[in-house]
Amino acid sequence: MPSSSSSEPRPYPPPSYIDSQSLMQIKSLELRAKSVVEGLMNGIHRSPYHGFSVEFTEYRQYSTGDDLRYLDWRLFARSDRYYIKRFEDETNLRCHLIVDNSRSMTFGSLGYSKEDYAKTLAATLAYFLTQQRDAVGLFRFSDKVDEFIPARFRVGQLRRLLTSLESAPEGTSSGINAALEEAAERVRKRGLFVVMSDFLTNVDVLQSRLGYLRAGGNEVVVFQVLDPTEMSFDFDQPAVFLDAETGQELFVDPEQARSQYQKRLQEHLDQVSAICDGLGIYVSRLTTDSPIEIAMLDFLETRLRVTQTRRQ
Amino acid sequence: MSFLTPLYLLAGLAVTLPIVFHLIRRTPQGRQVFGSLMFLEQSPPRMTKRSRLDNLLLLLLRGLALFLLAFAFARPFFRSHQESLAQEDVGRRLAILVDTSASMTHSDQWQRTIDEVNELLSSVSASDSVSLLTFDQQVNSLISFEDWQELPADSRQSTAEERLSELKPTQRRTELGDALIYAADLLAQNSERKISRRQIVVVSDFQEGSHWEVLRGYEWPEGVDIEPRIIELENTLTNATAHIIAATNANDKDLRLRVQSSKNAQSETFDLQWDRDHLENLEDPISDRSPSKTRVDVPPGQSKVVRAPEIEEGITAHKLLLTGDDVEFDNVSYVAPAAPWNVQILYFGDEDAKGPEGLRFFVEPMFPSTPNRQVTVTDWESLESPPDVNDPEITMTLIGTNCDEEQVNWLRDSIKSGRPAIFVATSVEQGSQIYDLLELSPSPVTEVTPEDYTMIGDVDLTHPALAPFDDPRYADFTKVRFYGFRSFDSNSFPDSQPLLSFEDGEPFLMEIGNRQLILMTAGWGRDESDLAVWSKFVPLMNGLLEHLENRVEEQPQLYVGDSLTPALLKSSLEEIWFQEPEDAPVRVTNDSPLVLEKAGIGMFAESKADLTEGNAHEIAINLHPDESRLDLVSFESLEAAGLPITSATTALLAEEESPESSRQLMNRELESRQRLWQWLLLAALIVLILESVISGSMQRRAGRSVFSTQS
Repeated sequence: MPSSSSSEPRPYPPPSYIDSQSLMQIKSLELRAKSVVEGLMNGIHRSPYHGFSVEFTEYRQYSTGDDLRYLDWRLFARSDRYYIKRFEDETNLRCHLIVDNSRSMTFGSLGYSKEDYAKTLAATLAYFLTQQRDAVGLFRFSDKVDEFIPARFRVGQLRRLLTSLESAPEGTSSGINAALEEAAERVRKRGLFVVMSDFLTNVDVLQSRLGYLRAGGNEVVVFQVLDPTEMSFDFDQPAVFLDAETGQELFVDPEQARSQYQKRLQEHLDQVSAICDGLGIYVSRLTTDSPIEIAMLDFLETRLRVTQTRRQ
Repeated sequence: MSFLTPLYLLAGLAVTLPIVFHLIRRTPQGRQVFGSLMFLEQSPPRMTKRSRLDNLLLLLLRGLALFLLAFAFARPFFRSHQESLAQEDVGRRLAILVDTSASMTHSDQWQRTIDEVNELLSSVSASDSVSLLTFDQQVNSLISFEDWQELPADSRQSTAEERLSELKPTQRRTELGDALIYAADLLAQNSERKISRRQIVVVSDFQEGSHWEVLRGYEWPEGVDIEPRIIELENTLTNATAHIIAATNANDKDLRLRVQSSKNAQSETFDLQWDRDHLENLEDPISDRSPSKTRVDVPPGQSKVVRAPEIEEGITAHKLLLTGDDVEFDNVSYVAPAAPWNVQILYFGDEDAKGPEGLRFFVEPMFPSTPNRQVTVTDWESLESPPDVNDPEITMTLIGTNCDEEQVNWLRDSIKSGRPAIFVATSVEQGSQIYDLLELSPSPVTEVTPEDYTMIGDVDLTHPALAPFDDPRYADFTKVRFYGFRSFDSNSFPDSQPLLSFEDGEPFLMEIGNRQLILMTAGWGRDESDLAVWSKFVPLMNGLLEHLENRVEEQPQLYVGDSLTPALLKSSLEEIWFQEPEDAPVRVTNDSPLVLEKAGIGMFAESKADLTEGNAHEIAINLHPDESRLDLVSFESLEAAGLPITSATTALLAEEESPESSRQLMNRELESRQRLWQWLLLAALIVLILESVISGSMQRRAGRSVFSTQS
């Protein structure tokens, strides 16, 4: 399992990805998700990324020890050869998206906020998974869980998810720890949890909370969404900085504060990475100017590895 | 150095602003929302040594510009000039207008007026320049500005008070508007002395009928204000007044009066009766029901027209008294009994008066009897024997036929004796007789018969008999047509004046001699002309009658204050003699009019002898009706007409502050003379330009160095 997406050299982004700024111009969340997914599907429909969907089928020659339940008897009747249907060990995926809806996510320097980005990503995932007939649920949280939609695969589920995603933030602070705890409590069946947050909060108990999820046998993928400005802190004028969550005001001269800020941020990020690594959780750090497809491909890649690991 | 507006110097504190901005290099530019401040710490504002050193010159320039601006706004000036100015005394220029109109005679109004003016004079300072003016219908100067200056300062007030004490209110009406314009013009004139304020103080009752309306069309001069000192009447005063509106003849039974009551009148019932004081055996007061007394009920603010009461026996109907109100001065209306005017016309003609074909038929309708005039027409034919030529009863002759020898002789004597005649030429033969009557050498008379008809071509509207037609509405003489007339040689008559002429210039109506004879070259018979059915014919003939008799049937209404001329009395005489009530006879011509001073019965005659011998005509002189409108004028209307009226209280305040305000005024004048602020402003501009140039060049230099570093 990779420790972090940023640590590996990547062959993409290829030039054909949708620029995330252009994407954010699209008002409808559903349309955004659709554009990303369809673009992506065009690119990968012959790709090796398969294995967690009932729609995808492939035959493999039977070898000794394979479960006979998955033997394709019809094919055997036609060809007199034993073939195993490839989806033998894949049940329908139950995926819960845990989306941070707190005020800190409303910050954005590119004309759209981290929240927009995270929601687009969530919508894209939801759309993609729904297309593959997987069950998708949602935890939308700020200081508490604002909305919980259990994972289902049924007509209207996608609509519910998208509507919920489009609703405005309710709370102020980021209660990611509480949200993770609640997710672990409420979702009994094993499944996949995709956490989308900036993780700009105290991470002291993050380890234990993510640990709960992992302990339940769930897969966890973390997307840490950050604004490019948050990474670089390239403000040029001194100003009173206002905390989006607490409302705290602080006079800051960027020139003076930059190096200190970057140092502390890096420490924090390392801390988050360390926690996730320790739990075997894949962390993808995304800045809001990077194409959504990258996140998607990251996700698919991770999934592939997971399934491959399992199969081995 | 002093400052006109020193508070502006506080703005000089703004000099510190660029210094503060200069020293604090990085002040927050704004607010920035940020995701989380968990990695940030408060940065302290920084001052850099570098910036201070770099831009010190700019800082100085900016500070200097601000300081100069603040200094300019404080309007500095040098006091040293003031010493010389202070020698000159600055005072007010004050015109005091004292109302002396008839309404001021009521009760103690006049005494209060005098007191008010005296009080005003006592508040006048030695530096003030005062003119004391009185006004009613005209403005009189008691003390002019020049007189005031010439008087020694300590005797000014006493002189003014002395002159004032000799003053009495007149019976004239109020012309407030004219008086104010006069005073304003007087004040607006340039004076060599320094003036702090130009002011008109009006001491008056400000009655409604004070004729201020002329001010509406007057552009009030700037800097002249008005302070009204109102000699107020009681608010609940009842004032009623009676004015003659129709027929000025006391003998006339149709004598009517308009009785008008004031707005705040408390009583509504008034009595009208003739003055009986001159009755020797004055009986008991007349009862309310007697026809000699007219009782009239007039609601407040309204008017009513009533007939005059009947004249009691033994009463000379001159004065009509109104009783029942509080104000006395306007309660007497004078009415002149007109002397009876008997006109006897001796007609020479043989026609029958019965048919409209001849001249005679129209004579009586032409000269109708009126209440003031008794006309009798006597036919020569009907007389048994020729009347006495000097018979004063016969006032005029009218000749419309061929006269026999006896008639011609009689007429010749009659004309010679000065009795006027109207001669209508009905035929060539009859027309020629005029030369005989006037004892002139005969000239040929010709009969003219126009092809179709002829009309009047020329009218002498300056002639007194035709003067009433001198108005575009009445001057149309084209409606009458003539089908034949007699042509006379106008040169054959010495001293003749054509009044009306035909289109071809031939005279139709000619006056020969002065009021001697009127010649008509065409008659009013229906076969000769349309005169008899012409609407102007009767007025024309009556105009001629009044002219020939030198009498006027209706006398004009005369008011105190009117300028009397012979023309006003509708007299065609050049000069008349007029005697005002209880006054000596005065000669009046159109060029030297007489201003009427007293209400009462005046007398006029052609000569002084006639006046004294009792051949005079009486005419009534009354107070002007507007003088009785005693309600207070609306000051809102006065202000709306553009008058800068200051109330007494504000004026008082202004007076109290006068040393301070005059000092202020002097300062302002000094400052406006020196105009230092303009130079300061210029200096500030130069500094700012310098600042722009320096900062611009510094920026360019900085840009170049950046460029060189980049390259």
